[in-house]
Amino acid sequence: MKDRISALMDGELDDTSASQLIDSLGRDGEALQAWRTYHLISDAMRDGRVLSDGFTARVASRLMAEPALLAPAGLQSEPRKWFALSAAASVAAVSLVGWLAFAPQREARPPQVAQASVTPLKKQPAIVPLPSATNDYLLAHQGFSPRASLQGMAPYVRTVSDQSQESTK
Amino acid sequence: MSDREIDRQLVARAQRGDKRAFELLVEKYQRKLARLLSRFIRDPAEVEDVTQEAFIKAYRALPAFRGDSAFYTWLYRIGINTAKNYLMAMGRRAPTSTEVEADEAEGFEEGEQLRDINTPESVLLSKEIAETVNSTIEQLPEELRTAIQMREIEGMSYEDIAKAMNCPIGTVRSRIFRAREAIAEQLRPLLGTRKDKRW
Repeated sequence: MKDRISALMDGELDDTSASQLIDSLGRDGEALQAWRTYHLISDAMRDGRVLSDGFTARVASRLMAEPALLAPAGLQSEPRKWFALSAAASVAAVSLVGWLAFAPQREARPPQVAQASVTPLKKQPAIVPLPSATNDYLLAHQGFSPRASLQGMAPYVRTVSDQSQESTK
Repeated sequence: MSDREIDRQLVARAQRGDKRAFELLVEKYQRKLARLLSRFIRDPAEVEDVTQEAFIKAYRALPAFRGDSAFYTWLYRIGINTAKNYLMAMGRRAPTSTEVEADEAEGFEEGEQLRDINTPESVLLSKEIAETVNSTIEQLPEELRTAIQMREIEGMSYEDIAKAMNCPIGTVRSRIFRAREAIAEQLRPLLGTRKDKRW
């Protein structure tokens, strides 16, 4: 155990062993004493300054009075990062849906093509007679159209206009 | 695992509420931090008080520590600010930031001026510990003495020591451990019997 503590404080222990040893440092009094003494030796070899024996105990006593750090941050950044990413993805998804729903509808324009000198054939649009109850049906059900709530009165106006054309015929 | 990574693990554990992990950091850095703060404050008792206060402040600020810098760099900055605030509260002049910088503190090891500020009692004890350590090192077999000095004084890695001593890394690890244990054995009576022991 102590030889591993010696290697640990020199940064010469592999990650797995180091993690296990750090765990045991908090529980094993002998290991803690070795950690303490080895650091003292290290400091004494470089500089003779020492602190009173009760220093660590006094700090520990004050730490006991401190509230536990139960809201980790800082180095615990991985869960925060994933939370932030998922939140950003949610916002992006809501924004996309909102934009699709509320964006002003444009009439589809035909794709522009190169102008040719060929005279286009004039085709008469096919006239399909609507059943007589169509306008009444559209008027009655226009509320169920998804565009009705978004476009205000537009569907209704279109319907009335259609009816107006019918009446002029 | 590197020294910085060890600190990182201890900090992460402390951030999860493990106060014992923070105490290990206190054990590790108390003398270095006190040595730094003694450049601001002359009285050894006050140095200890400010060092203690700095550790408590560091613990409270731990949730905000993100590991962008090394833990000791962050701790030293807290220590310097604590010392400055202490001196201002006492109506004394705090050194300007250009006089002592945290960056400088990282490389700060020892200076003759430190020995001047210690009280006769602490000088005596420090001297006693230092003499015990040094005399034990002198009595060590040469291979142990060389290994521990290369590590502690020169800061060499086990790999470099192994090359220098022409032996396997495992042997270096064993020699350094045996040297530390030999010194610790000589220190134990000293540390365990004194009523006014300071370490």
